[in-house]
Amino acid sequence: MIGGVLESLYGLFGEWWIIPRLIEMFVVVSIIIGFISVAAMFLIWWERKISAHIQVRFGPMRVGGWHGWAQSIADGIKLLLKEDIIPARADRPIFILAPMVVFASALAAYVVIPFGPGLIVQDLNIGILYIIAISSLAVLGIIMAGWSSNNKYAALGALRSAAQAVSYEIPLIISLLGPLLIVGSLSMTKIVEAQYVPFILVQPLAFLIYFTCAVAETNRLPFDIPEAESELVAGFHVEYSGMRFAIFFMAEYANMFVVCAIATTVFLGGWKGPLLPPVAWFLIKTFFLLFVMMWLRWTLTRTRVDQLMNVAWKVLLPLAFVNLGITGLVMLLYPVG
Amino acid sequence: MWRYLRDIGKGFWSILLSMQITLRYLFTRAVTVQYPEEKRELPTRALTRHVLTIDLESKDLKCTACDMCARICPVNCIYLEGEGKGKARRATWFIIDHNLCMYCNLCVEVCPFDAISMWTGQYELGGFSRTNLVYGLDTMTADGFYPTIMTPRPPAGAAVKAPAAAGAGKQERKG
Repeated sequence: MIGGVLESLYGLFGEWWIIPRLIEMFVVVSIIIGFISVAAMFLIWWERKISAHIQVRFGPMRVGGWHGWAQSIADGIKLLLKEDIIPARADRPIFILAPMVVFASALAAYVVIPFGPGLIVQDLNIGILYIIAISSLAVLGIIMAGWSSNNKYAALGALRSAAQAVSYEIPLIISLLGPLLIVGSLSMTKIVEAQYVPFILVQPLAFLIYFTCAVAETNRLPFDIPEAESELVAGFHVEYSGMRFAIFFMAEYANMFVVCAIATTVFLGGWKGPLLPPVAWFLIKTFFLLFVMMWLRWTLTRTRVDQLMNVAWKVLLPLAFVNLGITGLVMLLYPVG
Repeated sequence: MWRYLRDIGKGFWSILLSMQITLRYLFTRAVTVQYPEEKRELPTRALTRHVLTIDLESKDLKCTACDMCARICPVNCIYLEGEGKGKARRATWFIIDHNLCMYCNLCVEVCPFDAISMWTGQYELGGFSRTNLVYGLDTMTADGFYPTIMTPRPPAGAAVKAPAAAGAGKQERKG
């Protein structure tokens, strides 16, 4: 049906095909943004519930009736209605642009996430490279936010974030190379189709390295030194309030979803699974990984900066290289079909 | 080299152990009491809002306006006036200002006739102004506060030590 509507649209405009194309893109982006907002709001509520239950309390219970399900909606409306404060000595254009850059980088990564067979916005042949490149952009936004705030805590948080992202991206990419060697393609759909068994069974070490780095990339708790509350107040977003803060918050959860979706695609067999429809399997696996991320957050304490660097350069990077080397050697000795 | 690998293994193992602990806590029942819907059971002798007790036979206040409670009150939150002589003396005014009351129970302990009690279990004393917390004779005798119902039973074995029992004993001795 959707295809028919599209065709008639294209027929209507004839050689002005750019107009229906733009409409199509606009609709797709709206759907993605809608999905991100709903998922982020659900994740925020879910994280509050999980953190509360791990600490043997209930968390939000009032808003919306059933276990406070509308808490994030209420928070979102509250943040929208708040006064938008920009510090007097802040670098205005960059200050305003920073949350958009962070959110845009999270949004752009959704283009190549395969929710199901054919349910992918654009199956780029360099899918995973594209995601890695785009997700590095978030650091730029964070540095912009930290630097333009004209606040020492924000600047410190931003610089820490830069150091962290640069060091953790390397083991992250190298750990992804193992599965990619087996698949022989960077396209997200091809990666899923190549998995007759989930790659977590073939490449357990790569999965662990990837997941650790993913937690660090999204600035989540064992590695959340860029926003360490107890030392940096809130890190790079100290000066942000109202909707801009909400966008940062949403971008964090959108990024979490992205890294978990990549882990699902590359290591857990993507949409593959018995009985349930492919989309359901994809979401179940992704949300399970998100749950593990939250679970980790409420289990582990924050690492020191030097410990963080130690883990990245002395543990994860050599292990990632070892994994890559072994994978290459096995591929060489037992070439697949 | 061996130590390096052992450290990694140990670190990983300890993370797994701690995650197991948090998972166990995730499924333990939350200790929170959802207050307005569910209320915690009060201890038997929790000191809450005052009530003037009534003699069951005559349905009359036990209070004889002897002013003992008003005099012993450390924060002077009790004001009372009485009329009549001897055993016929009754309170005409009896006001307790709960803005001031500090729940020390001295008024109850000093009362020779066991005429005032703080074991009512009424702790929801919110009000929109200070005057809402000033209780007069009507509020403190309303709702049918009879000593047999509202006075909690002392636990078995401790009956002799309970202030109510002691007060009752005194009353008997006098009679």
